[in-house]
Amino acid sequence: MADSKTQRLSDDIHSTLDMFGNGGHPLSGKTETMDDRLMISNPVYQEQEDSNTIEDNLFEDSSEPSAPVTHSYSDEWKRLFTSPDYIRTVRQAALRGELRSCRFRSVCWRLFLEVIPESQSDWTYKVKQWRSMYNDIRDMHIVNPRQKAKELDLAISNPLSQEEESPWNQFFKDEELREMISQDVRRTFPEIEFFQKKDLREMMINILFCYARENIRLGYRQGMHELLAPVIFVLHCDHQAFLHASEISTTPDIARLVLDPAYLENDAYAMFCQIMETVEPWYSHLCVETPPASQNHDIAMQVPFSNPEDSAPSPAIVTKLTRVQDIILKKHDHTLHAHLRRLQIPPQVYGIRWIRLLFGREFPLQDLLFLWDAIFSDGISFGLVDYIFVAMLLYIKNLLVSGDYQTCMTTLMRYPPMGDVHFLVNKALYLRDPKNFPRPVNYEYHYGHQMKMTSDPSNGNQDQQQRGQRAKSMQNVGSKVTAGWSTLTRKMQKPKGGEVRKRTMKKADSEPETGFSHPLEDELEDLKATSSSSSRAPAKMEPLQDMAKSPQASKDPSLGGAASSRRSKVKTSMKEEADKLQKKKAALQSRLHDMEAMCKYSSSKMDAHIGHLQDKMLQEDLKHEDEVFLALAGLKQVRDILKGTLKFSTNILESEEIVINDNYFTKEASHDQEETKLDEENIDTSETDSLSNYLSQTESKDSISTNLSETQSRESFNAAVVEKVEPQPQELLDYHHEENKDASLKCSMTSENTEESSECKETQDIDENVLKDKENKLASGLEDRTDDAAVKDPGGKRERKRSISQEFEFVNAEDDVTGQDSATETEQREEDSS
Amino acid sequence: MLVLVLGDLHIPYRSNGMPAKFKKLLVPGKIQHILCTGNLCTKESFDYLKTLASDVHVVKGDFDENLSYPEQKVVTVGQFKIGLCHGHQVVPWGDIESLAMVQRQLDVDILISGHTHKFEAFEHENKFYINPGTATGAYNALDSGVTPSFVLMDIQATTVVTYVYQLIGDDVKVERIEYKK
Repeated sequence: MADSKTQRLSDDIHSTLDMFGNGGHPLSGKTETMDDRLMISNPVYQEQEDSNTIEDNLFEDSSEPSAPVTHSYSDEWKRLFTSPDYIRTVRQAALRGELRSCRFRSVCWRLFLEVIPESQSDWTYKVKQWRSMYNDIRDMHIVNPRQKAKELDLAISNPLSQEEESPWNQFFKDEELREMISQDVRRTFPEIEFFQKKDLREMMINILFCYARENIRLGYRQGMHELLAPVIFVLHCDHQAFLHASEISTTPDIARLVLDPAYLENDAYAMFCQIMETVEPWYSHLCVETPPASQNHDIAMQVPFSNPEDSAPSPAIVTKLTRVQDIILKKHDHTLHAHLRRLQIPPQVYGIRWIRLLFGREFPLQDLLFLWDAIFSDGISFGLVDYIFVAMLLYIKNLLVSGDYQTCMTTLMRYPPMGDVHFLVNKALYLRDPKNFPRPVNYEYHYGHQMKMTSDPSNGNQDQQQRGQRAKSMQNVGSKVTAGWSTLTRKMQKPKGGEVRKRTMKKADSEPETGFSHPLEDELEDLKATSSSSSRAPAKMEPLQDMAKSPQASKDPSLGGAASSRRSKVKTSMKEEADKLQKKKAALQSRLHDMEAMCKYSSSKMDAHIGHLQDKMLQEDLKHEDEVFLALAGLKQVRDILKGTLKFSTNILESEEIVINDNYFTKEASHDQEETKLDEENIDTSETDSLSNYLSQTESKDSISTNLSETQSRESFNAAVVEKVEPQPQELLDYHHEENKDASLKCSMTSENTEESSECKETQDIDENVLKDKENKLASGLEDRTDDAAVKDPGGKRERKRSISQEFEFVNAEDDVTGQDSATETEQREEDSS
Repeated sequence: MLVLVLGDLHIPYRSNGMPAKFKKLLVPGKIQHILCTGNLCTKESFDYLKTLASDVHVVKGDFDENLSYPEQKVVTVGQFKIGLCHGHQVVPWGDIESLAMVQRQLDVDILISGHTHKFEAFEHENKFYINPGTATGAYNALDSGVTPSFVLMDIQATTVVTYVYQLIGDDVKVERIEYKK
């Protein structure tokens, strides 16, 4: 019985989620992260014009990766490799990230790297050829002088012989090389146990050694081991999958040959060779051949004021990096290029490592493998690397542009953790070929989040001059935003977390928890964020700045197709810009309406569920009634935020720490207790499910009342709950009630405005209201428990209260500022658009 | 694993140094251990050996300045226990039976001794005996026509391949003797 209830409820929730997906909200990403973290297949650009199509497809995409799981081993093989145009299918699968869960990733890589040819009839031959070739090479280079010694003259072949032809002489040279390699191999991926095995290390040393001996000119260079390691890892994983599958069922003959675990070393060598074929020049220290004329260091020949480094001959890698930075980056983001140049950070400082290791140190292994999927599938020349390089720079642009030399270097040398690597790949493809690859759909979304971190503090005041301060405020803001989120999810996090914590929080927040955010909020933040920054478009007209940039705010895929053409015309006249802005505005407005509808729907659902929950709970005599009801109240707050009647703001957290000055309640240990309680209820949907089992089976009615009446009803209900928990002084409740009414009126008024003016919705009144609301709830819930505690230690409590009240004042003062700022911002905007 | 065995240098009293041809052969990086039968005499000779390998074992000869060297020493390399003794204590000097007694005392697989300034390597009762001779060609109490020589052991699991380097005339002559445990 209970099961069927749960089933129904979860169905309901699923259908709700479905609706979210169709709304095109990034939540589609969220649903699959819940399903399987490994299979994040975020929306990839596809050639569609219609926005709806794109969104539908996105959702289909996300459900697709679950398919291989249900398929058997040989089915998956068939699906990938048997269609007539299979190579194209595989390449696209690689770009979509479907190889993440694929059991034939190594085969795909071998295809991409041209280790095995496209026609499958030649696979057997080619695979065998590579394997026997490696065997020969190994036999040739890994020799034991003791065996050979017998055949040769003792005067030549003795351990101390200095003769060139002595096998011992070579042996000692080899030993030196092997020692050098093994030093690096020992340090390969120290965090992954797989690479700590002795035989595996031996294998890596053998492969690298053979490669170094085969390519005397290049030899062994540091970093090669980090290119080899993922290759071996992928091969090994596939071999394990193969062994597992062959135990259960029959496997295709060709797979048995290609994925023979006995040839791990041979196959790894073949793939490594092919990778090195392309990467080799990047490792070479040899200078690019320059005509003798330019070698002439005649003073008259030199260009005056030229950078002496520019004219000197440089290794291929430097040439390449300079080209990437001076051409590609300059083309796509002049500001960033100029900034890096001004700080005199040459690309080789950070870029050599990025490029030589194919970004191996910048991403965790699983993400790296996907990145390599994309790089390899793009073609043997690895042309995508340059653009991924630029995309990486653009991703951290805000950190860079606002930072000084020190900050920039730190950021570049330790690339911040990245939520979604798909974005980088999509972005790179777009950068390279904007005509054929639409701008990545989720670009603004991630970008917006990144921006949110930086732009929130100055809320409305987003002048260019503020940039410098931003770096400093980053830290605070990061934690503040984090804090904001944590209130929503009722995770109690102290904002003064360490730097590292902040980083991880940032990542965590930007990914899955977005699902809980208020969509309107997102939209607005994006708008703010993009308009404040000088994004990628190199438009320079100062008064036009906001307008010129706003096309960047486009998240709407329907306009994405036109984006490329628009980009080229950035410097067109003011009027055109205004027209475009109008169109954009319309599109955004329609989107806003969609979002609003979605929020209303979800809030009404939530309302109904909460209603049932509460009815049942009022009937039953629960042990920790007050805590449960507080949790319920928290849920309601979330609902109200969803509905839009209660504005979500970062200040909600501050309200947690407030205690009314003139009554002596404090939030004590019990506070934490209830926090966790609320936390559980809010973030864990399954928890909510189980709670919902209390509910009767009545379906929710679609009653969408007006904001005002909604708030009132909510208020009266709150009062009821509060009374149930603890008798409350009547006048306080009344005051509370009045306050809320007032605020909700304002809310409904503001929500009628356009999205531009809704930016300044965060007026002080609402914030205050929120604070007071929270205070009352807290106070009522905690009165009985904290009272006696307060008696025991009145001195300490009072002191803390004082500090808290100071904080409270500080928050209010801050709100004042932001309110004003946003007001001025709106004025400016209106001027501009008129 | 390469182990260099040499001794009876007698620098500077009976010889002014190692032959140039030997010095040319002995380069750092190849040899892991050095076993010296003593009579280095001065600290400088010991320092020279240190430059060839970091692990140097010396026993006391009858002319050594450094009195802290032990009379006998047992070193384990791979699966082999190697006993080291200068040999002036074992009378008659270089006598097989006397050396076999020392070998039984130390309970070793290979016994290395010196003092006679004459290279020898042989198996006796399934044990291996090595006398590396003198690396400088210094004279001994009974003989003045001495051939400079040293020994290099290549120890692999249960096999020892011994290379003997002798300076005959102006040429270095190499011999190879194998011993299996």
